[in-house]
Amino acid sequence: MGEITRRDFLKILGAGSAAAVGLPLVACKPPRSKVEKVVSQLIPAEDVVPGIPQWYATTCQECPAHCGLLVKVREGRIIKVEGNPDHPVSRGRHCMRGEAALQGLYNPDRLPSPLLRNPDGQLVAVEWDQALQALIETLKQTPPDKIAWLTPPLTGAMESFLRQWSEALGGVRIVPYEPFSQDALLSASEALFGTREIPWPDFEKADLVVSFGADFLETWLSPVEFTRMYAQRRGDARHRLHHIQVEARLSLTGSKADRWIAPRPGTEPWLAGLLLREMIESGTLSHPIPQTLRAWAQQFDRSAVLSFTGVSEAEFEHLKKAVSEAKRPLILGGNLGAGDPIQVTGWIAALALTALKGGEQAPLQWRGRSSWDRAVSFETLAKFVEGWGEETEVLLVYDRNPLYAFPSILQADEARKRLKFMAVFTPYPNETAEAADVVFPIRQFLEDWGDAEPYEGVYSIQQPGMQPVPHFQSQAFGDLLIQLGQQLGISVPETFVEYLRTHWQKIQKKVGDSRPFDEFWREVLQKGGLFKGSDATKSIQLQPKQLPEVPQPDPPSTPALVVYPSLRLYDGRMANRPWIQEVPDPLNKVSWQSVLEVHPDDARAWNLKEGDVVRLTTSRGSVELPIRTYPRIRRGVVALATGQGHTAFGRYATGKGVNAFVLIEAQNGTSSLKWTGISVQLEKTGRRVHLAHTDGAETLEGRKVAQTIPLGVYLEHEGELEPTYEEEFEKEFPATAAFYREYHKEKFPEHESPYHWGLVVDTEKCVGCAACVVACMAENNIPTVGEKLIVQGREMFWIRIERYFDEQSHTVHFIPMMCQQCDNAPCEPVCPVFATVHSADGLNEQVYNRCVGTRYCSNNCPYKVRRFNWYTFKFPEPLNWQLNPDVTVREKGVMEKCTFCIQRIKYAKDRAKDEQRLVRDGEIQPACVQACPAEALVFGNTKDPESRVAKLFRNPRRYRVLEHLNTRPSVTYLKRFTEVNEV
Amino acid sequence: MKRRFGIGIFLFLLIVGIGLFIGAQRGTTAPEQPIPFNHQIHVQNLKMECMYCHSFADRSTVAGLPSVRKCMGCHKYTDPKKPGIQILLQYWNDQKPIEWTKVHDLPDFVYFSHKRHIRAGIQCQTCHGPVQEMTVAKKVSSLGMGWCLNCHNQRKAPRECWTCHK
Repeated sequence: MGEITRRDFLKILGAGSAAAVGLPLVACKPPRSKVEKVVSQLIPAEDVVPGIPQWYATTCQECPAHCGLLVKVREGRIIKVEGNPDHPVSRGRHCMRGEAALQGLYNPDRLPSPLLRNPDGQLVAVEWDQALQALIETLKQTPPDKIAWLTPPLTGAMESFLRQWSEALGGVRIVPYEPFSQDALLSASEALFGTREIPWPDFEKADLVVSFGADFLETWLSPVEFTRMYAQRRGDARHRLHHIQVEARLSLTGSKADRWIAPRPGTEPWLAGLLLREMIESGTLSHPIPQTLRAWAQQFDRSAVLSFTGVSEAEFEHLKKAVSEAKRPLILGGNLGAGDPIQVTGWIAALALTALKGGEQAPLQWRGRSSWDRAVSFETLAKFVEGWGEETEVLLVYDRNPLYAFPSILQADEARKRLKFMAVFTPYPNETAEAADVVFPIRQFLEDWGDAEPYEGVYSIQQPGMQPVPHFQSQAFGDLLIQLGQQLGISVPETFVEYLRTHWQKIQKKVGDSRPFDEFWREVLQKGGLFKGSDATKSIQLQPKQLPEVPQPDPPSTPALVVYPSLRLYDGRMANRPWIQEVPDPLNKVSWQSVLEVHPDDARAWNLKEGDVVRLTTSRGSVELPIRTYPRIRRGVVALATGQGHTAFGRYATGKGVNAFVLIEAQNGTSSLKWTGISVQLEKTGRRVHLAHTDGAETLEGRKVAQTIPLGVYLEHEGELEPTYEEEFEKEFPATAAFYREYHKEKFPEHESPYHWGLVVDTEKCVGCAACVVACMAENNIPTVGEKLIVQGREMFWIRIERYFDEQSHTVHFIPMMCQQCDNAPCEPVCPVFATVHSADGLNEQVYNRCVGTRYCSNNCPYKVRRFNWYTFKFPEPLNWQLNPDVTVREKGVMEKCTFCIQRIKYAKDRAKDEQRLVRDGEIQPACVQACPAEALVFGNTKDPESRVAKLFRNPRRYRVLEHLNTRPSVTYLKRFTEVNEV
Repeated sequence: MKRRFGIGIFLFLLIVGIGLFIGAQRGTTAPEQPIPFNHQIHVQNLKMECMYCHSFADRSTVAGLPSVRKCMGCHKYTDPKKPGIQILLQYWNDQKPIEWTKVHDLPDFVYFSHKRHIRAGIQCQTCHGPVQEMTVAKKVSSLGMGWCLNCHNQRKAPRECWTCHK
């Protein structure tokens, strides 16, 4: 006796706990753990009402497309980035990178102060004056022609300001560079049309698009704009745009195509050339064919081209037939290829064929000078880097990261050592800043003034949405130039904003606006710019003079590497944003890591398993990374995305994956880059890693989660209305229907709501770009869990893009999957504490403060859309500034999920109540719907028979996922089209 | 057996004790403020409207506190020797905002809109008590969920979860 057994202990503890529960003192009352302060304003800002958001229009600077943005500001902090509906590029939408600009602004690793290299060779934090003095002295001692700027392709006020500044200093050179340059396209345009401008694709005019590698839905030119135009044309059943993609590794763009042709990587341009030749020779082209072009096309020999491209006769014939049957085909070349003569060849063939088929009506348009044609060619860049130490002694780097994003053939690391002095202007620490002599922390674009002119006639303003983030002593880049200029004795304006206004006065004059400037300026700031569009009325006129000789192809190599631009990380500049790292690649579904995509049959043949780490060696360098099987890649080809492998880019990027720029080599005998078809060696290292992927099943395995409808069948029923789901249910299951009706009435006797919220997902339009996923994370305070927890399957996305490889064809199905807000929800009856209940509006509410974390609901959810907080996730300062104050930040032990952005529904209902009306159709846009560049998502009230969703709910294409489980979801999907005559 | 019983009592008392301790730690309902602001003088004696100072109450979720400039709008002309006003003048001279201690603090998972309640005709005093008589701002209602729902039930106001939680 005397010993306490486990049984006794539990009994005693049970009695004790029961007593504690009985105590009124610890019962359900709001906890007051700490005393909170409320700070009164000193002098209130005008027109600002705390609790009500303000919106400011600005311009995205994350890529040269320059979408128009609106930033949502609450109590002086930007909390969300959305598209500007007035802006012609984005039309109210944006991509995931634009959304993640916010995490650039609040990035916890931003440089807190200037850095200067001390005599010991260490970079140390210094005061602004000291850093500026160091640069000024260097600039004073160096002849101006030995100084050079490396910048992005600047447009607008900053372009002219930096030029004037550099000229005033005595001729400082400016080298604008963009890693995904469009040099090949520009050269081809120059050769064919006599103008070094981008011929922009016009998806609205085309009836067929054949892309020889251009990923126009991901990174090429202006992806948000193209996605919108493309999706619109694909969703239009009567005038559906046909799409053929020719590339060795199926890209996200290609996964939407009706047909995929996979030639040997890097040989696509010859196929385009052969197509041009055969089309010319077929005699079906109704437009005059210039003699030079006819002669040029003679260089493509059918049997030779088909043999080294590895494309079968049948495939080529299909391609030829599709092009000859089309009235206005849009043929596109490759997406990369800086000055590469092979890519130039491809583009010449593509553009010439487009122009010859369409004539005056060719689906191309001139938009004048764009941000893309300001970048230097790769050849120029190579010469520039070679001259470091001689022609260039002092390098000033603004917003570029050459020591990471310059391909290794440039040997920038070595070249940097020859430089006398390097100054870097950047908001973030990065590889180049680490090697600099002085680093100036500049403002991120969301907190700074500026503008952009993505193409002629689109003047887009960039205004700060808030005061600079106080954690960092940053300065505006323009104002820094002014400070430097004052000290160097050149004439400069007082502030950059003043210069910007002067610049816009010129624009006002140019467009013939005679209003007082302040009035004009106010309107510009309100609308986000001035959108007149290009008044280039030039027609598409073929005037080829000297066409470059067609190069000889490299001998084939196996395996061959394809380096493709990442939809998520772009050239690596987005790698320090946790959202971007966390969101898996839409196709290989891997986040945080780099993977080498290998065909499953090749993996078997090479005795490799998923997760096996291989050493990949090219003539330029070698990296070690795990493999991931990817069925949509040509046999013998391996693929790797750009963007990872940073060594000094903050906590979210450093040490993740490998840098593809290390592997890219020079095109045989030229000073241009070879992105695809690089000859590589693969070696097994014997190590294995767990892949951080969020993949469920690779194929549908016979389940009808993704459904299709032959286009012809749909056209027969277009315009007809299916019965409503309720009618269908009544007819098919009369007995249970009655029970269901009663059950519903019993549950909500008092609150007959005029609303029942519903969402429609058009899988024909959805391109799988995952902009919705990032928008959802931003809106709903969803934490990023990191690589380790993703490996454990503990990701927190409320919406995900399910990816299924079709078993019959090359196509890939994308199913955006969010909480289906089932009317007969399996999660609700199993919750022991009523933390998840049904609202009168048809939503599954999740009450976080009620949830005790049994996870029964998640176990019972057939859609697997509920997420459990295994930890209390931290948002390191100042990343927490981004949190949406209208949404609870969840903590450990709580289940969470999508509720169609209930805070937005509530906001709209609140406004409607003020105006004594019902919520209008289209008034509420959940974050995913707002972001979707394809406009594939529609939200609304299904009880209103006139609403868009109510009509789409009865569309002949409608279906619901896992409908047979009788969950009665509020989300309806629209089937994807298949071409009837396709095999 | 006796010993086990003793341990049982001990554990019981321990838990009761912890409960009492937590209860006592809940803090006072009338916390000390940086300036001993007196509502009674402003409201009852000077007949100021609540919304003169808490000016967002009928148009936003938050009622808002007066800015220091607003306080100074009147206090430029009042007796500067009073100790409370001297503190205010100090804040204004230093151009510093005042950090008040929250009297009515709702947990972060509760969404509450002042606007909806004011526009439904609820008096400020219904929740905040007779503020016009208070010399020190004091919390008089529990602001617990049961307390909220009691009123919502009586008035047939919405009682769905998402009305207050999201």
